[in-house]
Amino acid sequence: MRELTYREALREALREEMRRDPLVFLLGEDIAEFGGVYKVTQGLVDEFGHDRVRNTPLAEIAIVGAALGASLVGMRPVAEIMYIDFSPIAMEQIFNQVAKLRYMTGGMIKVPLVIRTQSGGGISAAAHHSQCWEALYIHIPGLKVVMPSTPYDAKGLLKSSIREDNPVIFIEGKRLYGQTGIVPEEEYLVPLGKAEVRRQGDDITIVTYSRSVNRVLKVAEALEKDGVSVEVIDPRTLKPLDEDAILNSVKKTGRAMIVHEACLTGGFGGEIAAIIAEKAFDHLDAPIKRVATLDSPIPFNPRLEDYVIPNEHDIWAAALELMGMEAREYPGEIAVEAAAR
Amino acid sequence: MALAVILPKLDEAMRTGRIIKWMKKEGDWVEKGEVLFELETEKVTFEVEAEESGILSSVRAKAGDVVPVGATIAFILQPGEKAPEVPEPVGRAKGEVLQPIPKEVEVKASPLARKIAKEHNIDLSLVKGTGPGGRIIREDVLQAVEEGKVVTTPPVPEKPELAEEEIVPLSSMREIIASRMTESFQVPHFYQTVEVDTTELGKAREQLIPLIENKTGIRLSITDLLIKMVAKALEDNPSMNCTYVDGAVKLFKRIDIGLVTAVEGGLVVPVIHQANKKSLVEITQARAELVQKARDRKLSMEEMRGSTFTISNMGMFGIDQFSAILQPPEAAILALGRIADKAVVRDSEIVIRPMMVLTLSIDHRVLDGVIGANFLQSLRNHIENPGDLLL
Repeated sequence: MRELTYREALREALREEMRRDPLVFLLGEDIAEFGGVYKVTQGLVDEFGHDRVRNTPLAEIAIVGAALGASLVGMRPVAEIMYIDFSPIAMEQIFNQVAKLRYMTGGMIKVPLVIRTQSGGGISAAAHHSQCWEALYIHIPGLKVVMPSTPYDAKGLLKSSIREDNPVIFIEGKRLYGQTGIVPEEEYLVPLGKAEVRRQGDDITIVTYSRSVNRVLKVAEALEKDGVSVEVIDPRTLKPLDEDAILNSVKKTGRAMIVHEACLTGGFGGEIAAIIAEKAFDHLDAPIKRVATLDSPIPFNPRLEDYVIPNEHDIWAAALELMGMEAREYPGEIAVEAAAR
Repeated sequence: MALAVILPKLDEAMRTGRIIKWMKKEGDWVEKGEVLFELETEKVTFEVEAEESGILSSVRAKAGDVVPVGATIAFILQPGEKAPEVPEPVGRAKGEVLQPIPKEVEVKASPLARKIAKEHNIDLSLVKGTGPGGRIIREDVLQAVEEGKVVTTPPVPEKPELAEEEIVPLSSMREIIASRMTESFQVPHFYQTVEVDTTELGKAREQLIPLIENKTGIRLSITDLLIKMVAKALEDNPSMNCTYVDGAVKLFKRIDIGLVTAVEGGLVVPVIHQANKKSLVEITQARAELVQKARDRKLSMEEMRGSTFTISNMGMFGIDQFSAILQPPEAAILALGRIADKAVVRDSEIVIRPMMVLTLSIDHRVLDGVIGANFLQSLRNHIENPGDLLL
């Protein structure tokens, strides 16, 4: 079957939806000829022209404000915020306008707006270009939050997001753009609010999303050799969240762990842990474990960056602890990212 | 010198005390006479003071702990001093054998293990945990079920849906009442009942009420008169005033009358000391003061200590008659019913008289029926001829 990169899959989703619906258009910084800083929109201006692939000034609040206005009058804009780190500039628009208008008009107004952005570290881009802020967005009622981890999901979820009548914060993984995966040639959608079981297992449920999924799957292989069977749940959509998928898995395994690249405190892991504690308490055979980035701005020093972001060994060690097994070094290779550049 | 802080013994029956709260904490400087902690016993709360100035150290009992009398619970040290390595834990109270207080074992088990244990009636305190930090996990419980070697506790009956039940933990007072009454009920009791005519007693009371009220502001009660008369009856029958001790009978020279007093959540027994030597006015005053203090929970240990005979009056609650359980270590207790008009025969005529039933509970190890009968006879004479009191 055909393989595409995560980047190509996203581009294909945009192209298909723009062909399908003339109301869909793109706006953002340097997205036309330059193709966006991560090249997701490369070439689209050639097919659709500048009316539908619009370069904007470096003004995030204007990008979101313009996109919101367009969506209110029936367009289906896809706005790109280059880095999620820049999204606070548009926060007033996103938190107080985008998220609320559908509700405040009693549903009379639709807000079919997608804000594409990307997050995460691993490229030695320091504190202003490496953050993971999904927890900010899931906290605001009225926003849907999507974080795909594979090319297949990236395409299917972006298409669903564009067809969604409510605002969607679509957070891509910057270290995922070059990753390849199977993407069928025929059209498909991935529904919002539906988790995917990435791996089946009986001993530990690990809930993880975006690029942490890859690391968790690697560690799960190593754990399997040690007789620990890990089930990996990727919610894909953080909000609305597929609670049942998580709870059913925890009820089966009795142990839960959450791994994400966002900082620990106030992170989405705490929310999942709370849901599990509230709704599957009697099924827990061990305390819930969170593995997350240390509560620190991402350091510029590449070695420190690799240190603060949870790596294979961190996930491995936490799993052994959950199982009550003796601590040991992770037997496989530990990815060196920032320091390798 | 390092001074041990000992849980004090506040009365003969006291075995343990509950520490309510520490006023000073580890490392604090305390002055001699400053309050160290508050102690709750059977019936009072008590402030324990520092016997010396120094630094409070090695605090080994925390608020809420129940500690045996005589146990060392902390040290007061002088600057530069070290607490003895192994402080003497118990044994200050002479002749008292102290059991270490069984500490409730905290069972560390996962929620899932608890759930499975509950389903199979497994007592988790008997299961060995193999999880992290010795936590009992699912596997441990399943193994216990499989091996069947774990003693199971009887299943807790499911709450019927409509029944409204509430589990209220025993207060310190209730706990002591429960344990002492259980202990007391093992003493071989027997009971003797007499019905007395209170016509004269009532008349005497009517005459005395204004006199005593003028003097003290307190209204004379039937109980006051009965205390006086019981004291007199005990003087008449000194062998009644005794207690059982191992291999002997201890005869009391003093006559101290305990009075069962209902308070919120239970009862206490304040004591009218030397009741035989007190005038009716003094008894009335003492009774009123003690009852008030009891209700305010302000009785001192001294005021509850040492009764040799107890009276329990339920007449005011409309009880006709009842049998009381002995108050250890006493050998007898008298239960008073209400005064009620009844048809009785006097000189071959049926007449109406205010009657009261007295029931004496007796420890048969030391007292016999004849002694009880003599005592009740004396008491009846005093009640029916209150002029005796003048003698």
